[in-house]
Amino acid sequence: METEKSYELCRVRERRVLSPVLISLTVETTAPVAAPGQFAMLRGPWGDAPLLPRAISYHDAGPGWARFLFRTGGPGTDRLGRLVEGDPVAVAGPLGNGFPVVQEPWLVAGGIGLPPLAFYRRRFGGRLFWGVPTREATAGLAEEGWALASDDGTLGVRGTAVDLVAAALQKVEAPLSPTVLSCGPYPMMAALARLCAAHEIPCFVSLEGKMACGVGVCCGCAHPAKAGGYVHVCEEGPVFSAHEVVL
Amino acid sequence: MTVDTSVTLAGVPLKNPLMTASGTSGHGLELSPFFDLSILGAFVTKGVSMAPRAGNPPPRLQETPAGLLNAIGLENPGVAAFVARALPGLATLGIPVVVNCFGEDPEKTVAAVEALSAQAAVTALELNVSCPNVKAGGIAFGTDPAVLRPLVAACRQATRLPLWVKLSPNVTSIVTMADAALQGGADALTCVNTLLGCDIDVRRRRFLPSPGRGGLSGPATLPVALLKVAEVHRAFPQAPIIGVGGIRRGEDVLKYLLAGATAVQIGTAILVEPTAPVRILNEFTELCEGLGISRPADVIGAAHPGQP
Repeated sequence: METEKSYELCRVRERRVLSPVLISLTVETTAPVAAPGQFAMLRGPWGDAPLLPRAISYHDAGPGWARFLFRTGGPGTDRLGRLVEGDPVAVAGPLGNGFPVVQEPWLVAGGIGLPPLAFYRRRFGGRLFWGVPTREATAGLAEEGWALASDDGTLGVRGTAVDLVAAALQKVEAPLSPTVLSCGPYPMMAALARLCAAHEIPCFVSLEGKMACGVGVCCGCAHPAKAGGYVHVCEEGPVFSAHEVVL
Repeated sequence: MTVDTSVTLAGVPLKNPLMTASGTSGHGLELSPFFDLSILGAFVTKGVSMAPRAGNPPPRLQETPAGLLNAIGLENPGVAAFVARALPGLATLGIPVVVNCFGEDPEKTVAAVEALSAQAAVTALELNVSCPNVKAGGIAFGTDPAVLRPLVAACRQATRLPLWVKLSPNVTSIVTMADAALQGGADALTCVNTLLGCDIDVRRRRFLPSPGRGGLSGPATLPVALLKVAEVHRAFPQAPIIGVGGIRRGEDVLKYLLAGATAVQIGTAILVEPTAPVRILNEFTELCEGLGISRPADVIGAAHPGQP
């Protein structure tokens, strides 16, 4: 599902502050419409520091626009989070491979890993499992029909998204046909990959590598491959079959 | 006023002084979705060695104030795969193709030079003797004149192509290293490779990037690299120099020319903005026009005392 890459100076069409740390930016773009799981490199007009653009997953996209949902807290995301309507923002995208389109997707998100999977569900459907630390962390993003878990039990079941999937797998009668698509903290995705392997169901994970270019020229985002050597998150990923990569 | 941006670098005519810097533009046409690479004066590839290299473990990158530390570890597909997969695409660009190459020891370096010289699509070779990331090679060649001179001489014997040597700034005297490279038979000197540096993750108490150090590039390095160009030009006014380090505006290009460079390379700016060379070339041309410089080649080294 790879689409043509582009680089352009976009305008912020809408900025929504969802919580003190979650910002949604919608930008106007002439780039091809992104697929769920793809990402863009975003940078505002803030001089030489921080130097690099930031890799952010698409939360939604349509003809002429794209939406990004991200957590602030770093030098780059803080500045992106302060952009307002009408501000210029340089966008390289859509980049990367995106999630595979599968028959029975189970979308498993941990924390801020939600955006690409919420995007996937909007476009292709599927069961969504979302684990958050606490109720406030959802920032009103949870939708009807999602399975929810929180570390402190303030929302949904007490536990993680992996616990939700384990419980759901108990209720599914063999032969199992779901394909798990996941984005979240590495320990969570590692646990999920083990669970999927035990049930012999395919599992795909979206990785987050430190990137400079995002477009396959610097080789900075190398991630260890299970077969030895490295994969490159930006070009070969960010979505990999869980058995390809070390988690 | 029309600006004639052409320069001639050690016998190689370039339609303008802008090239990509090795390491920041891929091995082939990776940047072509973003801009027409044929607008460049020349394309310089990521480093290539005889055998493929997997590179360093992550984290390979660390952002610093107005800079970037990298320790990629010279990851590359090897000469054979480069020639088969990347070179044919580069050959269609219609601009000089400069292949950056290196080896883990003198024999492997010469072997890479020989293998690449057999390719008609290669215009010139840029020898990397200064990459600071690989324990086995790189730094040893580029920091000891007694090692550098015979290495360059051996490569000189192995190729009829123009041979550029990319110097390391991590030495006491870059002039000494430039002298060794020129005596070995270098046709041009690329000044300079990245500056060694490190960062520290205070929570994990670990040096960054992963080998414990990396090469610093980006705007923060411009004043250092500019001085190195000036020093080499002052010592060897006839030696063609390619300036590289921190260029992100047209004005930076002109600074390097005034310091003594005939051409320049754009590196980290491309990582920040994949279309940077297009903008920088436009800015450079407009700046020359504004300053009444109809032929930038005429102002090479003009900032030095005694120059017109």
